[in-house]
Amino acid sequence: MTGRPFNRRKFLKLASVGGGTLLVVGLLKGTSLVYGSTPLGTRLVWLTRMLDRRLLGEPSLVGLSQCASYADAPECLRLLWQQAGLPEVQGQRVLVKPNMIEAVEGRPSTTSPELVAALVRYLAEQGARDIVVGDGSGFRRDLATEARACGLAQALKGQPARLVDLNYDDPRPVVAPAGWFIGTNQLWLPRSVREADLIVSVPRLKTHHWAGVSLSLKNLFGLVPGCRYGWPKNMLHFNGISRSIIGLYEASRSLAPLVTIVDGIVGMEGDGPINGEAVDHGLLAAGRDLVAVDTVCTQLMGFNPQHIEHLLAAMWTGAGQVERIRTVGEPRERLQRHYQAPPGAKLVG
Amino acid sequence: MPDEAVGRGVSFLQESHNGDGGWGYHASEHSVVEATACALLALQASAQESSLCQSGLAWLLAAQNPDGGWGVAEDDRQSGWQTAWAILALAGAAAAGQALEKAAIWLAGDTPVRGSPPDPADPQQAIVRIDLSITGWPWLPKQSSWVEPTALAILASTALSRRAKAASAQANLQARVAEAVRYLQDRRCEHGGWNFGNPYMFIALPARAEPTGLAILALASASAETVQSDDLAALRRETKADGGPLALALAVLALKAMGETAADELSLLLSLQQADGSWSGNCYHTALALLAIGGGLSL
Repeated sequence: MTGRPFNRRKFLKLASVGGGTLLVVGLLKGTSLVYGSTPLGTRLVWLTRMLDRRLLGEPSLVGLSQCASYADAPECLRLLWQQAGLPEVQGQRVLVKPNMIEAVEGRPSTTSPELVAALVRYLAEQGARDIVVGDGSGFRRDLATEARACGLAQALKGQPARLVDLNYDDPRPVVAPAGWFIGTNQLWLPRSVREADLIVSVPRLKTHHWAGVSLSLKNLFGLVPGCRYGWPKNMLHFNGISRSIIGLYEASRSLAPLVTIVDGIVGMEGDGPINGEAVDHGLLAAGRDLVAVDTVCTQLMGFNPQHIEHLLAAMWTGAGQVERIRTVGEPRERLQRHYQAPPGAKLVG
Repeated sequence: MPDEAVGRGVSFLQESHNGDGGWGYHASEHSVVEATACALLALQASAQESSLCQSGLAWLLAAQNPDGGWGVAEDDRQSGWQTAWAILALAGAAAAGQALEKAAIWLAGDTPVRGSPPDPADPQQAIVRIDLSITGWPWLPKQSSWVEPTALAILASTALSRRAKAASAQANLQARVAEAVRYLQDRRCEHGGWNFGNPYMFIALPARAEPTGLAILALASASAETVQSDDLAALRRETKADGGPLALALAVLALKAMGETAADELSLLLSLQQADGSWSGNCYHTALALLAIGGGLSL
């Protein structure tokens, strides 16, 4: 996406259609969020893409499902996959990426194992050739231990999927997307990411004390191998959390199509990403545009996406839709909740 | 039983050895510094497979970056925390003198960011409750200090200090180690032990097995008197809760280094060996398990 050459004619056409205002606001917002040290050529590519998405692009589709319990997840998932227009998986190698940051008793910090197992069964029924369930926890050194603690190991027993610790999965370098990772043109990623035909981000819907919310985009931090970058993934914080979140989105979808199923059947509020409180929400959300899905989920948590820096960074670089979104399935009103924000964060208003 | 387990574990490492001389985390994966260094330490300790050791050492020496450090793999030009493992593996090798000199200089110069002393008026201080002016070692240069790279760097510094020829950076390293011991004391969790390096983040955070094992192992080599009974209790408690081979191997190594009994942990570790001789099919886990079952980490 960011590697696409800058098209001067298209840029001028879009600028004239949208008037100068959007362009100026985009430059100012982008500069304050992520443009700081970005080469001019990349900024122009981002601006063109932003204008294209905001003025001419098709609205992004986000599927919403009211799913009262994990027992209902298989049926909800089946319907949602179709409603949200998620791709065929016949013959494909699929990486399912749950959030397995750290299981803590009584805290729904990790993706529900029942949902992950239901997704694996669905993908297998649809003819996926190889299914990997993988994560690279930022806090724990041994994913097998973490999988037992959060119940995923038990849930995947007998299922047609392999559990892979992305922290130790044959890391190799790929070209980093232009402009997102300061001081390097390389990003080391695990084999299961590099070789996937489709990546499904399956986060828990929850708050996060640094990022505001942790949804399908923030979940991508777990793609980065600890054996290269350490525990926690300190490089991503030094690079800038928002810049890293969207940079990883750009990097991974340049390798394979990326879609999401957000686990909000039980969400988590307050002191996320680990020590928050459970919220019975009854929500599953899905889509191909992770920025759009996270925007809708943020709103359904009762927060304003304009307070989530990485969503703004995505918007002003054209990485996804924040405004032109069409939801299908359950009406939003029935899924609206008001989560408690993480300590010290202002996410409302 | 331990001898047989060691034999089977060594066979696994032998079969997982790459043609280029190194080891990946798993068989048929690209060679990486951490797995290769740990496999070498395990093979050296078991006094077996000298031909594998020779090719492993050659791979490790060839993977050293011009700046003296090592990255994750031989084509990773950003040196980082893996340098400590490489130093530990090379410390006993006669042919590694020059490489160790360069590595010692790199390690002494691998400085993290240093913050300000605690200021009660700073709202950030209420969130984290640590002294950011005390540093250890970072995972990657010029980032924050964390418990595990600090522990590994202390171990590597100790190994270097016992090798007379690698002396040029010794003074710097001694000062760094002294501060790193203080760093570990500052990052100790409320009820003993360590996690990755944040004992408090809005609330008190618990210790975890692997960083606690590594921290105690490091302190045993540099400042054993600073290890508290709470730390050992946290290690046993968290290792039991974790139950994985990595946690168990590090716990056995740490407890042995402190002169403590590790019979329960060792027994559990032995029970986790797989039919192929490995621990979780991972060369790094297997190598640490072999070290734990054998004579420990020799510095």
